[in-house]
Amino acid sequence: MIKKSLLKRLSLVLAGTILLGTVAGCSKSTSTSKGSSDEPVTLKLALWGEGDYKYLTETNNLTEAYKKDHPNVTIEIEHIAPKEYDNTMKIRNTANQLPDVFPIRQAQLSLYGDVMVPLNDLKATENNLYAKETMIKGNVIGIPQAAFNEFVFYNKNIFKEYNLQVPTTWDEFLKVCQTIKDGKKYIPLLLGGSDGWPDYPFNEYMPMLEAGDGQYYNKMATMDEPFTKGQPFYNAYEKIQKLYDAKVCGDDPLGYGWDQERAMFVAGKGAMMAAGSWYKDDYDQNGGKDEDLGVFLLPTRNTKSDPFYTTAMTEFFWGIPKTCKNQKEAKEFLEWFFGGDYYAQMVGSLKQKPTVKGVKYDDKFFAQAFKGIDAKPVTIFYDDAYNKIMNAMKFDVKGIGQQMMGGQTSLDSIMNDLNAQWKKARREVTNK
Amino acid sequence: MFKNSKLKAQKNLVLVTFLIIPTILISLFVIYPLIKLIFLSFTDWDGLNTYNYVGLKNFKKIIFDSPEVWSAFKNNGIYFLFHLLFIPIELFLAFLLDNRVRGCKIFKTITFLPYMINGVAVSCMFIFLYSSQGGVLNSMLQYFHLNKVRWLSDPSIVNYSLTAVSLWRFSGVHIILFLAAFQSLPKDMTEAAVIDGANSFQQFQKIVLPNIKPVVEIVLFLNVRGALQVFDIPYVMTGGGPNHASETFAVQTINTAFQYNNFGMASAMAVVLMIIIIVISIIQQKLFNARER
Amino acid sequence: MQGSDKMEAKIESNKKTSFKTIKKKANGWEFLKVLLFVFIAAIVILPMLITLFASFKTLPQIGSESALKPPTTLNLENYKDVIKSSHVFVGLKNSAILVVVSVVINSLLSTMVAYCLTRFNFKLKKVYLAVFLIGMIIPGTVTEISRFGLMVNLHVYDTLLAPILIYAGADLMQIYIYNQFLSQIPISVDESAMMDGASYFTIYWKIIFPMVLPATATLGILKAVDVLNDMYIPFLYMPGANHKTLSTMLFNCIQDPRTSSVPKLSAAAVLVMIPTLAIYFIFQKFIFSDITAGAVKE
Repeated sequence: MIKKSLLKRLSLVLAGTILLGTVAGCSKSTSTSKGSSDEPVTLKLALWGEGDYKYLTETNNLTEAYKKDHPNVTIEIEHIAPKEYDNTMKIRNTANQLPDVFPIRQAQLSLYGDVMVPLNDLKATENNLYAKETMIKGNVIGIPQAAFNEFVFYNKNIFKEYNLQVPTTWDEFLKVCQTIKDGKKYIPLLLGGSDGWPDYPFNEYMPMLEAGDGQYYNKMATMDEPFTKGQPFYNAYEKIQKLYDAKVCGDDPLGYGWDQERAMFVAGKGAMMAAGSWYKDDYDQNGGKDEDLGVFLLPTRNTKSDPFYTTAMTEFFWGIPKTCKNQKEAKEFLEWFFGGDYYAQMVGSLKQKPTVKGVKYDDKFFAQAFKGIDAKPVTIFYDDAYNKIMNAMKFDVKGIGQQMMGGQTSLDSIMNDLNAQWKKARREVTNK
Repeated sequence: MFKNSKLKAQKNLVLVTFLIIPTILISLFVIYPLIKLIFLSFTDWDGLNTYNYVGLKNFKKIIFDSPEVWSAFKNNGIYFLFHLLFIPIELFLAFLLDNRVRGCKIFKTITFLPYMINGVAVSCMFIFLYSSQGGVLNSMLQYFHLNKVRWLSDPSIVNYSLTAVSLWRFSGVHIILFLAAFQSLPKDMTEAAVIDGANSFQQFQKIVLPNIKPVVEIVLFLNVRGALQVFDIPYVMTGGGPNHASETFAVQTINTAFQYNNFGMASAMAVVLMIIIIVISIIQQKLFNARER
Repeated sequence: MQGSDKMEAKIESNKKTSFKTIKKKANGWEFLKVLLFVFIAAIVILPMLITLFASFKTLPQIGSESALKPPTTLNLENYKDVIKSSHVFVGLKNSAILVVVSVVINSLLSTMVAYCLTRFNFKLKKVYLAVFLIGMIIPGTVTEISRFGLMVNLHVYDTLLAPILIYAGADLMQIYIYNQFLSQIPISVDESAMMDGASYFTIYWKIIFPMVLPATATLGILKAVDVLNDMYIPFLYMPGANHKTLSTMLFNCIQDPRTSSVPKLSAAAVLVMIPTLAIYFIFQKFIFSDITAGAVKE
């Protein structure tokens, strides 16, 4: 009838599986141990930056370095993929599984107001240049690790070919784009529209640059119709629409994404791309050469006599959740992390602009962008009031950028629509 | 009499021992999250902080005040329609693959290959294929002196491009399932028909089809569910863009939860989606059964 | 006995003659059929070929040359990168455990459930089916939030058991497929076995289970592929570095939009596909063998 050997084989597989299953169930990860300050303590740390993770675990092992000063504390470092980082933290929070110390992304900071321990009294906060600029509900809930500037990276060879100078006003910038476009060889400004986010230096930051205020969006939250003509947002978007209408991002910017944007840039097929200082590392990693690369600050001003604003952003806000069982040790860690040599070495190696007083920042490469320009940095920050409205109306500047690139809707109709939605959302949010 | 009650006891024993583990699994991992989901849909939870009970507010907003939700629903419809149209083709191909074409072993493997590749990797492959900058499809069009097509950036065709990816990925599974169904049929059933001289199509309709009803039913149901829940492909390939043109219901739900920090609303959307799936499945089932007769 | 022998012989000879005539008529038809599948094969293979090529190129090459151009050199940098940065062997081990345990447990559970639901009638049967139905329509990611807390409370967070518990459960599709197979096995088989003194359990284990093996193999492959390719559940429930699976490794490769790249992703995708292909070829034998034919004749 049925092959007996088949039956035997099946039973063996079954037995083997039960065995494997038991083994699987037994393989738990090492858990934290709590206790008084002299008992061994494990601090769980998580972060999203790949470069940072590599530094903390390989280049200059954080666990070992900390053990030298605090022999009873072991630091466990976990890397969580950047795209999923925010979501994962939220999910972990629902089960009180947040790590003991972790960085929060600036965009999410206002959400964590009630979740994190206030760090106002730490020395690390005192010594931080930016910590007090980004307080939530009157508290410092995260200490920023680095500051970033926004730049336009350009291909020096292409600029030389067309005899171009670095633009210092918006019209000059448009002219540079047009000249390269007329040459029909290269794409003037690479912009991976299909991914949405690459248009952020324009669609997200330019209203702030136009207003000269990094907290402009928060101001908008106090207005009923901030998208009217003559207001900074409208003016900025008028400029952006001109840029997109000039079709200088390739014949179909919505047809390629970030990945291709940087592939083409490093292959020399495009002249410029807008990104933050974090991009330099990627350029180097993918075969880009320093002698071909130049940077300048995105000039959004109308004339040379207008002030030149540029965005500065602080990121990587290190904090401690209220559910942490080792708050004393976690606070000690933060003091050590920001207070000593380790921090200086780390930001030096990662080429990040430090936020701690007295730590030197030496990067010749980006200095070229600031030469000859009296750049006024505006620090970006989104507060709770703005976030509430944004969530209520699903305000998505980057998506609007995509719409503008498509060129099918007039700017006025987009702005009017935004006004209507904003007003409605404001009512909704303030009526709660 | 004695044997009957012994049999009954045995039957109950088997039922209990066989079904207890699946029941526990399902209660824990399906029922409990479902109840929690329904509960959350009546709140305004933002994912991190405390929540308030808001009654039917979320549902009202979804049904009456969210045009974007219903345009996303239209996109889901495109997936549904095309997959539905493909089902007869899949049936036919599976039928051929059941030893009725030369080299069917190799072709069986090839048919199944698309499903074996990781879903996200597939999406990335196709992004590359569809790209306007050096993408393969556009290069081929240019080779024939035709205009480039904005596969993923033209709002009016992006959904069709994405549906094509979905068809590429999942048709193979349907074919394999149908094939398995054909294998379940005793060989003399189809052989008898061959002898009687019935041509392939008649043989198929009158003999084979009624006997694989369970599989066809489940494939139809999977289609409804798959089309309404489609998430990976649009999310990875276009993020729902350009400017929300290719958003599906599920993409919006996730964005509502994580990007716009409104888990309560997202839960309500999930509940609405489930109800829609059930309703459409029931309608589909009734139509299918009616056609049978 | 003799009658059926004669019948068989007649069928055989009939088959041969009708087959011959069919062969002569259908050569054109046969050719078309093969052509159809070759066309399908081309559509299937093209994107995969591009990925394969891309896995051997560098980022500037992707940016400058056509995707269809085969790589000029077999550049293994991307593969080396992926293997170095992502604990491939740990991933392989964990994925293997997940797949084997989940598939075996799942096959048992689903055949058991299908057996109960098709061969027996009991009061809560419709309710049970409805529950499975609901299980299938609950949308994934939003429910993870609810499930997460549960996993933590069960103390299986960050163990291999967490995903296994989710994967091992039977789902409606499997029940329907088994139903398909079971409906082709007449009750008379069960009954004659019972006459011989077999218990329900024996019928299940010695008759039903082996006879639906092609279904089990098919569904097993589908389950194995699902488990191997599923990224989100292992990512969410097993954050520990020693618990990385092949799919989370792939997940990492595409995650940081700022540093991931097409070549690296292609290499990772190819690597992850290899075990899947291996499993497929092993299971294939079971699907397409003639176990059913032999048993039914008894």
